[in-house]
Amino acid sequence: MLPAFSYARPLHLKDAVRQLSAQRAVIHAGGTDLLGCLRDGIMPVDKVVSISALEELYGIRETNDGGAIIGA
Amino acid sequence: MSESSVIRKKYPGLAASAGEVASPQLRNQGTIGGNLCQKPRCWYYRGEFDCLRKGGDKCYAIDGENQFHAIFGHEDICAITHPSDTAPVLEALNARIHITGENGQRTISVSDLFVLPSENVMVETALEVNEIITHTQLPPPAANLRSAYRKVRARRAWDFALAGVALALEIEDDRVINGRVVLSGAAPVPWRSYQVENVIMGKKLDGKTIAEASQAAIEGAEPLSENAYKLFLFKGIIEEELEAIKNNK
Repeated sequence: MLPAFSYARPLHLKDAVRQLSAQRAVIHAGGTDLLGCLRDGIMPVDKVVSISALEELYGIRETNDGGAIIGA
Repeated sequence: MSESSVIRKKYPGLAASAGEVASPQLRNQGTIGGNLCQKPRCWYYRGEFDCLRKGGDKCYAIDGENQFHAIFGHEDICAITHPSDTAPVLEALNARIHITGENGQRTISVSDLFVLPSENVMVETALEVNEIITHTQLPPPAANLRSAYRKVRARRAWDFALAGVALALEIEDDRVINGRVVLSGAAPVPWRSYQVENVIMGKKLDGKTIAEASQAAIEGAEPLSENAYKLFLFKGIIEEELEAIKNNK
């Protein structure tokens, strides 16, 4: 059973940071680990903040110096 | 990440590690930030045990069922192993982690992202509650860089590492001139093996050096009651991976 929590899916990074400042808030990225953690009740959670709509976190690209950046 | 042409070309070890994570379905759904920040797999932590990491008063694995637990860095406090396959490779490649929070942005090394039980047993990462990892930045690979990731697990797919090693070594005239060796499945954090690095740095990867490096991999290890088999795994994979780099495979 999943516990009761509120859910937010902000569109901007700044808003995501603000939403995460709430009590007992956690990040929902891919959710492959989080959902199991919530079901098993291994941490108290009141709010889940999805970061899947944050476009600035997407993509893999080469940098000018020949390195690379991997979006989270 | 495992299919990105940029990553495959520049950092084949990183592409390999991303391809070793879980199963294709989970890889498509998961994210690199999430892979770095996933929770420990310890069955006491995941189960109905009030362990130290959940605010209780003891680690049940230290004197309990600990066959999949740490042989380094637990200090008899908490014996989780860090579950990520990509983190040790990112640390070997000297990646930087970009983080955004309430007070703006900051950038830290991979080793500074992870927290040992002796520093704070209640957290796995140095992230504040409202901080988000936004991206990971990799320095340009040196022309002579060889990177690899090797993972040993109990079954062929969809499992966490019993033992693993990430290598990022610069080889010049057959000699190791720079680089890092980071173990997975070994400790509560990705475990940099300075012992192995010290043995191979400046040396040719001949039989003698490889044998010494393999022995050095387990120097200082503190296996628990059920996991001394990991010593043999780490010795074996260090030997095999250094052989592969020597033979340019």
